[in-house]
Amino acid sequence: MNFKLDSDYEVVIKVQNLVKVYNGFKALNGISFEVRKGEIYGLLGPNGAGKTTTLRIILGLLEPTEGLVKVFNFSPLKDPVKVKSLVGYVPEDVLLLETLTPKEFFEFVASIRRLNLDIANKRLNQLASAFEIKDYFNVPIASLSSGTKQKIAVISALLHDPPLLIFDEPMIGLDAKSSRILKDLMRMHVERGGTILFSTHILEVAEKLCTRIGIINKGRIIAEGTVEELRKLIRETDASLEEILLRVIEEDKLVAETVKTLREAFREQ
Amino acid sequence: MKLKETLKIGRILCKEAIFKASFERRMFKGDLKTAIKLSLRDAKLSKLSLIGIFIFLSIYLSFLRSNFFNPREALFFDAALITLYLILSFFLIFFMGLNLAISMYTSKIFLAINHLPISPNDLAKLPSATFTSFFDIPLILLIIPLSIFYGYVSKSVFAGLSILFVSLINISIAFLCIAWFSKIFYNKFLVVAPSKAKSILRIFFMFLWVLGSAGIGFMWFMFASRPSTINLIVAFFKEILVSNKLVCLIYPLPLSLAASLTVNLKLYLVFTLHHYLLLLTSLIFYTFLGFFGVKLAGKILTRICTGEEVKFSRKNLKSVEKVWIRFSGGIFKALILKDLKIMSRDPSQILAFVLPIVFMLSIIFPIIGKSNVDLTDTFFLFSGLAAIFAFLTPYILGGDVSSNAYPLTLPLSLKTIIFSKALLVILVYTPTLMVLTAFLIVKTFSFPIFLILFLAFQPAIIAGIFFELYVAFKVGGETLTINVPSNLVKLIPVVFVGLMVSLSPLIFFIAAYNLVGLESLTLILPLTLSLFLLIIAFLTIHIGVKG
Repeated sequence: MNFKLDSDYEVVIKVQNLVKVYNGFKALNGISFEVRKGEIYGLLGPNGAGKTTTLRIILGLLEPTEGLVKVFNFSPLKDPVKVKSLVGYVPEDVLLLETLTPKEFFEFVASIRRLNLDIANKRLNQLASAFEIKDYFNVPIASLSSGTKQKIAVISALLHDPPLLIFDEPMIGLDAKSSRILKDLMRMHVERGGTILFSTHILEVAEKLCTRIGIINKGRIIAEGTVEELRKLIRETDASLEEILLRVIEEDKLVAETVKTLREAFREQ
Repeated sequence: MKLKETLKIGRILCKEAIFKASFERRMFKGDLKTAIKLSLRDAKLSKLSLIGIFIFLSIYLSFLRSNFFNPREALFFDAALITLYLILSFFLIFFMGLNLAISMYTSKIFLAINHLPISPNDLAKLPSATFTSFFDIPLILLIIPLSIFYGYVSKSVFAGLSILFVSLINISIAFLCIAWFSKIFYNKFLVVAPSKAKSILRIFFMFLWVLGSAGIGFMWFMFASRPSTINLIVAFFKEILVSNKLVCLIYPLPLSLAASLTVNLKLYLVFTLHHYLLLLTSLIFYTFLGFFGVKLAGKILTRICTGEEVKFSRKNLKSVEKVWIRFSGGIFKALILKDLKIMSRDPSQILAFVLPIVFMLSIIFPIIGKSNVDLTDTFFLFSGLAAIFAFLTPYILGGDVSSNAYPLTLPLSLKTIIFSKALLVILVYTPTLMVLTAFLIVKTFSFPIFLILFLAFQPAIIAGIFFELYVAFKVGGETLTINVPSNLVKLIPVVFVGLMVSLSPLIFFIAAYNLVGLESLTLILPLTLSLFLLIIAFLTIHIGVKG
């Protein structure tokens, strides 16, 4: 791996006062955070909190209403091509070119990214073996299961060995073996100087993987830090990430109340 | 499930398919609520456009019957006209329906409901209900006016009802063909690996489309021309029907003949008993096919929509030791190859290859018999060519939306994507241009100025393509897609701009020619305008498209 940009930028992603308004609705309400080199930064939060919107703005797929975003000091708004060339992205909804075969798809991605073919083929063989997709290489993507499609999306994000990975719910659809491999790949990536920003609802994964976590709710970062720092924040030394999250977004009592009401209701039926 | 309930779910599924065909999930700029609102508004306007097309067809056919009717050949005139009506409506429903079917599969709307406790029989009714929801008013307007018109002119309720009956059978068979065609594509091209044999089969399918479309174009052209030509067709129709009994078996002749006989009951003696036996047999067969076709089509479509047709067995997989990729070439080549592969594997997109050939044949046809081509013919050829590409450009943008959304996540500028699309259209356009040029070389051998004129206006067509892509980008958003059946309304400004730009040097030339005659200035100014438009178009994309 040759992350030429790493030494130059300690802060890989800088997000400042990011606002995104959709037809009067504030999806993001002044988000600010930084992702440093060599970190796995987890963006956690309830559904509709603004995680996907944030990731899309960082990649340059969405335009922010206000605020500043820098990726390796490049603006995704002004230099989207540069930013996308430095990022490996797995979207929440896997959008592949379904009439193509994985072979044709990777050839397309490799051509657009202008990869060194020998290195790309070596890497592709390693990843395809690890995720066990070699046998599906000449089958149209449309006929593959959602898990296999997810594996193809993950491989295409890793194929160019980018310094920054942005994953939006990357574990969805993956079997236990592939999830484990992906988690190890993510660890290896940061060990080699890479950086990862990802969102997930699987809190056990976040707890084990993340260097730091940002909890996002109603378009704002409401807590940020390592798992230990977050535990200190809620003053519970052995709290799980799930407990931390619910406490921070002030839904722990509401959840307990809801479950209690449901239990009573079901008992009566 | 009650009919009302089925139709209600069909309406929901139709809206969903249209919405998903218009916008990839969150892959557009703007909020979801506005996107849904705009998408549904577009769907309504598209339906109105469809209503307009179908009403025009009904009025046009009634106009032909009223103005060019030949009482001596009443039976064959009506048979030819009803045949034209059936073929045109079949083609329209098939073309639009196939696009809708593709939107239904790709949007995976059925996966959201097939886990619900709905019986397989009820589930099979839902594709039909979805189609009904899309076509309801337009179809009524396609069928009813002509039935009423024929009932009125023949003073017979029975005749009106018979037109209604054959129209319904025709629609059912079109529906069955949509399902069958989709199934073949999904089984032969999507589930299994691409191969040379599959490519040949694909070319064969394209060829079938060319034949069918060219036939329709031919009939349309003939009927749109002089009464003497119409009489010629009617005479030809009579000749083949009377002399060859087996022709009675070819679809949709049994339907049109039966309907024509009910309109002209007194003329039944034209045919022999053998004719009637064959006609009756084929009529029963097609009625049976139409009746059961809807059910069968529903089942096939449901199987595809719920993913049953695209499942494949692990047994068919070949074990691969080492995987290997090659470069597709430069960025433009990679983008174009990707688009060509996607288009050739998508049944609704295959028409993009076929339409230029069909249009080209239809514009060459009227001139082919002439010994020499004059200025009017050159104009006709040029404006025909401009029209082909004005319509082709948005059609090429109507591919699977995700195919255009994915490249946005790659390090590609929007300009690169737009230029690659323009190159793709020009690539499809080149063979047509070459054939037309060759045709003109032969025809204008003694007076090559028309050939020079024809070629010199070409930059304006390329400028038109660029401007269309620019407008498509403005109205369709970054994903650069226009789903033809659900976004007819978006098609109008795109095609309008393309036509205006492509034809402006020609209009300018005609104006100058009328003022000063065929002098050097008359030629130079439009040619300069043609080149100027190309430069402006290029700059518009370069400056006007960010990213």
